[in-house]
Amino acid sequence: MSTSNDAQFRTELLSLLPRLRRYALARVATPEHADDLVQAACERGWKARAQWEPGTNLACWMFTIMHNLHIDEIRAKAAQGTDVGAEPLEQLHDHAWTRRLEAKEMLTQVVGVMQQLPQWMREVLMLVPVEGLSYREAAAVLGVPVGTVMSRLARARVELMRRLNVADGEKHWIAA
Amino acid sequence: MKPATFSDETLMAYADGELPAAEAAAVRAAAIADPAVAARIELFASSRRLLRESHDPLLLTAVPASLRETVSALGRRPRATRRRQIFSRALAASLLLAVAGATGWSFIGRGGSDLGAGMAQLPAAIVASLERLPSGGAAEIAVGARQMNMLVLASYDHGGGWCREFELDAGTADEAVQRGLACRDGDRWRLRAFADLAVAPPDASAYLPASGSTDLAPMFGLRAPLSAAEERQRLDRERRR
Repeated sequence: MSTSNDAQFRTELLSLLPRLRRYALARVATPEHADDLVQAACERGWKARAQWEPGTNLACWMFTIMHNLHIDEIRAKAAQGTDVGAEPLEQLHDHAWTRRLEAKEMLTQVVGVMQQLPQWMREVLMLVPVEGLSYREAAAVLGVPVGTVMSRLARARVELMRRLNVADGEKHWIAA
Repeated sequence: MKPATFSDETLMAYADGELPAAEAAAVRAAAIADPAVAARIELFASSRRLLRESHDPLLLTAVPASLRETVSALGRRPRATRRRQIFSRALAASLLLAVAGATGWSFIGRGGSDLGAGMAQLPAAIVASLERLPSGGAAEIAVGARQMNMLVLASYDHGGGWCREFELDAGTADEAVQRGLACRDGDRWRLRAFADLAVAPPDASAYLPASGSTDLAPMFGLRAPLSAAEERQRLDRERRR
């Protein structure tokens, strides 16, 4: 890869940092961990930059790298016997979803509710509605069939709205 | 028509605009006929809007400087492309003599250990720093139209005259830090050797005259670096010239 391509790759990577951090934050528990994950993904992406085809979606490519890195990390920790933390959904069953959210503003609530959802829901919600990826692109990032993305995404959105206490057809939450 | 006619996945795909045209037309007809279908579609459409709007502000949070710096430094030092250099390979080749390939150093002179025949003309700003800065000292200098940092590493005695080892760092992503050895030769300073550094130099404060520097000096038969006191004497002498 030529020098100018390298420079362009680096520039695009820099401009993606806010999105990469946002996605990482939805995957891990702390901002520090998210930044570590983003940095590791950027370093891996840089090493593999020859494999990226200019003109294709670099964000998707980087999300894929981050996804795989995070899975590797979870596996490595599991192998060491380190506690990686229970899935948020399992925690939720213990804590119970009892608090009503009407005191908080809806948009803030959405982020809060997202954090309570299990990882498999959070990641599809981040990739498709938030990041604007197509089902096909999200499937590539997650390494699952398109049908799986669709079924996870539909369940995640129904669950999100249920937890926001929004029933079918209610329109009071529309902020725009 | 009941909502169950279409799966949630289908209604969601309709709301997301991911349904093929024929299927989308069927869903649209069902939504018009059945408010429950329309409501289910609205649920998916609303969740998308909500998710997007709630997460957009997160893009405005500041990226930590350390992360930004790490990413902008990717490929910088170890893979510096060395497009623009103060001392070019062409300079060495045209003047030359011997290039000690394996060491990474380019020598200017009639041979790797020959200090007698250096010909390279040093820019005035570099000379001025050589005559002024103690070891460990740094200065921002202009070479041609370019600004760079010059750091003096160590001083060595050389047959009554002296030699100084230094580094130049343009501070950009596409240039390696260059290290050079220059010696006073009568009225002039001459560059005797230079090399691109594969790694970033340590902090300037890490350099002490007595700590010496690199593998370079021994190649020229230079002994241990001058002490701080000895170096001060040489610098005083430079000032009086």
